[in-house]
Amino acid sequence: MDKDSKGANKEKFQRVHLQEDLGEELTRPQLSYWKDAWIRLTKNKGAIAGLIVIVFIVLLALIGPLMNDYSMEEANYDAAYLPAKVKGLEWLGLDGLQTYEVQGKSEEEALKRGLESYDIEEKYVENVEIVQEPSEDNDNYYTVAMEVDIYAARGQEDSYYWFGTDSMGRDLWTRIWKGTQISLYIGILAAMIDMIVGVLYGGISGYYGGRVDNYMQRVIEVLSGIPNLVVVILMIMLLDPGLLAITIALTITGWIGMARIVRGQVLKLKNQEFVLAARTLGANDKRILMKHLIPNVTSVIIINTMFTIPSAIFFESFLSFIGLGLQPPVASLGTLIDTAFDDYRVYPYMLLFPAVIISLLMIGFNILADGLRDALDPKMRK
Amino acid sequence: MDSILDVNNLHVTFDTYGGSVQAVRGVNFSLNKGETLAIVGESGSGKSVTTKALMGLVAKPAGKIPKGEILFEGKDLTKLSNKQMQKIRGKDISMIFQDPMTSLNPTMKVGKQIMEGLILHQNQSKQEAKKRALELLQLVGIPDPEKRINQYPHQFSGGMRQRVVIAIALACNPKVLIADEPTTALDVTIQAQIIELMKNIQKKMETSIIFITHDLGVVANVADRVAVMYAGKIVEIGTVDDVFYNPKHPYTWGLLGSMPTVDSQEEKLIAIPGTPPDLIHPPKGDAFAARNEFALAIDFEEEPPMFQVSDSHYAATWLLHEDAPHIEPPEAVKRRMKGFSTEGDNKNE
Amino acid sequence: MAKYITKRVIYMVITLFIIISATFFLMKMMPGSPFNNIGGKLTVEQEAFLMEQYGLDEPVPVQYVKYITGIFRGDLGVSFQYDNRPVTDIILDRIGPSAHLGAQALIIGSILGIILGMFAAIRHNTWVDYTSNILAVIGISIPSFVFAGLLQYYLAVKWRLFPVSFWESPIYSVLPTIALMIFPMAICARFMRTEMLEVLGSDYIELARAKGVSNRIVMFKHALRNALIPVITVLGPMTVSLMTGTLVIEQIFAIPGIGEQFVISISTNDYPVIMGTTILFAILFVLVILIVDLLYGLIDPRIRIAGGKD
Repeated sequence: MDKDSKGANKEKFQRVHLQEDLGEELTRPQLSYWKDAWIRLTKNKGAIAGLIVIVFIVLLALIGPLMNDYSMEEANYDAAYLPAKVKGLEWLGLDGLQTYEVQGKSEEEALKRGLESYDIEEKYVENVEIVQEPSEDNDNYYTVAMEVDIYAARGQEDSYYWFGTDSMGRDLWTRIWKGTQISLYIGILAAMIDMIVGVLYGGISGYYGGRVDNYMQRVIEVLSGIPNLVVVILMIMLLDPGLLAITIALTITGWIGMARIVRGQVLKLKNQEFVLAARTLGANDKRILMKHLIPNVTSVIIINTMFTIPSAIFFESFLSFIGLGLQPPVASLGTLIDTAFDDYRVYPYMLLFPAVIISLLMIGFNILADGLRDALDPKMRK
Repeated sequence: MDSILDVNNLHVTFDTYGGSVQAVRGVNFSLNKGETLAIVGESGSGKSVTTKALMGLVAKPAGKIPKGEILFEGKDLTKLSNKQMQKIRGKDISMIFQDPMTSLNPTMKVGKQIMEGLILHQNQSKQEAKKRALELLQLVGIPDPEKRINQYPHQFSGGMRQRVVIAIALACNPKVLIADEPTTALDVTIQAQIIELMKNIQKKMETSIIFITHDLGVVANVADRVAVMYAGKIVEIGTVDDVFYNPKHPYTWGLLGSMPTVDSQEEKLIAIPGTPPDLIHPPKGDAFAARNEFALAIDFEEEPPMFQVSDSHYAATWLLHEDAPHIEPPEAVKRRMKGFSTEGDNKNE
Repeated sequence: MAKYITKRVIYMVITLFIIISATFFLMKMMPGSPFNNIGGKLTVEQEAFLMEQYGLDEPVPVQYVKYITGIFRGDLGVSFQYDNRPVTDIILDRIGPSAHLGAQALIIGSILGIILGMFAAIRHNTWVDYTSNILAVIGISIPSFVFAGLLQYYLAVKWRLFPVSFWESPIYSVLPTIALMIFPMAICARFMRTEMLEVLGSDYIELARAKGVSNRIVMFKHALRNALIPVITVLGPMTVSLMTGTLVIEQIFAIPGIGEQFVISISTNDYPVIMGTTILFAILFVLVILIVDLLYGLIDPRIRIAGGKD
């Protein structure tokens, strides 16, 4: 017994010889940079939600216009100003009923004036409600809300306009998704410009350094001293509003931020050993820039590009809103919102749908960009 | 000897995305009055976390002390509320940080930063505090304190800033001073000055010092006792003589072997192979086994207990077990051990 | 410091000169006559008369010199649309509401943003932080005119809590201020949160804690000041967003400010007014950038000293 345990102990206290690389093996498995970033991204619920929203909107923008038979430009004045109506979603308020607020000395008079001015037969009025009793403030007028089955009143009982129609009776579902396509196109275009012009400019400036860098930086300094807004407005006035003008305006101003970031990164990277090593091995400038530096600045480029897209979408809609954007009959989310402002007090659905879509799109891109930044650059994570 | 601080079976964990990191896994030591205890170990060995725990500065909510006690003058610091701990921090126990370039508030005048603790803990008036701050600046060897007291940290060099940090730490005559790698971020010549300063101050004020470092040269110079930490545990502890002339733990051998000496130009430095273990899933048995060229089979099965070598010297390695084969430290380490003894002799002259 | 300021002012003047020249020549290149929209029924003689009256028959270089020298006298030319009214008059007439609205939005927005960002950082990873983040993302994402439209429809048209539009008493400024301040507030909150988190993780905060300083004093005495200094840098982008914002917000709420005038002038090709406003925007922008830089130097002791040695 005693001998046995002693023997076992002997065994236990034998020396064990290590394999050379055992120590390394026992450390945690090293994930590649991109795999690690991907894991961090998928753990970020906000970013994934943003991605889903974007994919959903992009898909609808592509297939939405094909989902019904209405076309983008076909006007149908009989069907003007019809609110949203969706089969099966009436309970959500998408029931095609339109509420008009009308005023009159008495309830009856208000109603009568309403029917006349909107050209509606009384039998289509479903509901009448007084929203404001007469008082000093409103010169003793009644304000009456009358709810009308406007589809029936216009003889469109069998039609379903999912997002309603505009003043010319055009289907807003089709127009809004086509408009979303344009907005997305602008966003992607801006991103491309950023990637090409900004990366090249910043890369060259940072890589060559010295006098080249100095001159290139002076140009950037002057350009960035000029408010973007001013440049864009001047360019657009010069070129006539439209897609081309917006494209050129974005080309002139959009890449500066990217150029600065890339230059900073390149400056930081270019003195690091692996670039020196490539140099001593005889790699030429172009090769070093393409094979070594660009892959290393990829993450900042991706992050910055992702922030460019929403700001370009915003800028286009903003320009359209002040009348410098796309011109009819082309529509973007911005122009649709701009038109909706003309009569949204009576027809709020015209504003609501494009407003919600552009907001979701912007939120989606912004939180995805935030998530990407956190995932790709843990140092920047705050 | 009277101990002023006793740490028993201290555990510290941090919750991370990957799981719970067991940064400190059962540390025991005591600090005697007026002595300097050096804690050495590589990055991530848990030495800084241990001192954070002593200060009650383990970052909540991620950091926790699930087990163990820190007895300071009979009180268990781990049980104190944040409010009670505030009264001890800076007054009884204070701390010197690693990087003087970042450890001073850049927008507050140096004098104000020194006075803050005095006003807080000793209810001094502004005048009294200012007088004391001037004294302290003088004490830590900053020339022209009258002028310096109204300057901002960026107007000081790195070494001078570290002197200011020391002045802040000493402001309330603390009983325990924790120095977390106070010289790592400094130039070699400045390092020596700061070490000298700390030794002088200890003589004058009789403070107990815990000196965290990974620089064994500094240890030999300042410490009375040394604790070697690896993977969240103390693997060897003893007087400087014990650990430097008679090291028992293979990890300590590794540390000594990886240290350059002046007269050892002929030999290479010996690197310890591999990297420290993952403390989310600490290995079974001795955490050092995987990197230990003298590992025994049992090292992979069971954790070694603390074996007593002498009254003051303990080490946690199965090599000290009676059944273990007798293994001599590698030749290079032996030569270094000799080197220390001659160095020590020179110093005594 | 004086040398630095001089250098910066010279840079600023050069930038402004380039902007003014570019604006001028671009305007000259604009297609069509500025008088088109009077009905398109002008005879050649009438048009020639108008050209002469506005000095447009002179050679472009002469017009250019006249315009540049005019700017120094505060003369930005006369409007084509409002019977010879000087552009300077039009701008002065309309600058009041814009300045009022802009200042109100800037002050309220940045204060709310700073508070929001500060609490988000102090309560990092709690519901306070999450709520503040969601608010910030919404504020950054939703275009101000969409936001303005929704505010106007629900709070004014439907629930009648506020006046729908116009600019008569303080209550009229509530909705436009909210619509205009939401973006600056959001960027301020984000920036403040980031800065505050960075400061709270810094060594000197740990040292302050190690001194035994209470949490509250650590926050307000040590952390807040250090976190606030860099927030000054967002003033630049905030001003731009306010300028952009006024263009649409003033239009939506029918506020008689510069932004509304600018949009009207664009649609009527009133070049002198467009130019005048553009130059005003440019000056404002360049000034804010300069002020931000100087303010930063004044507040941060590190830069203050470095500047002094210059």
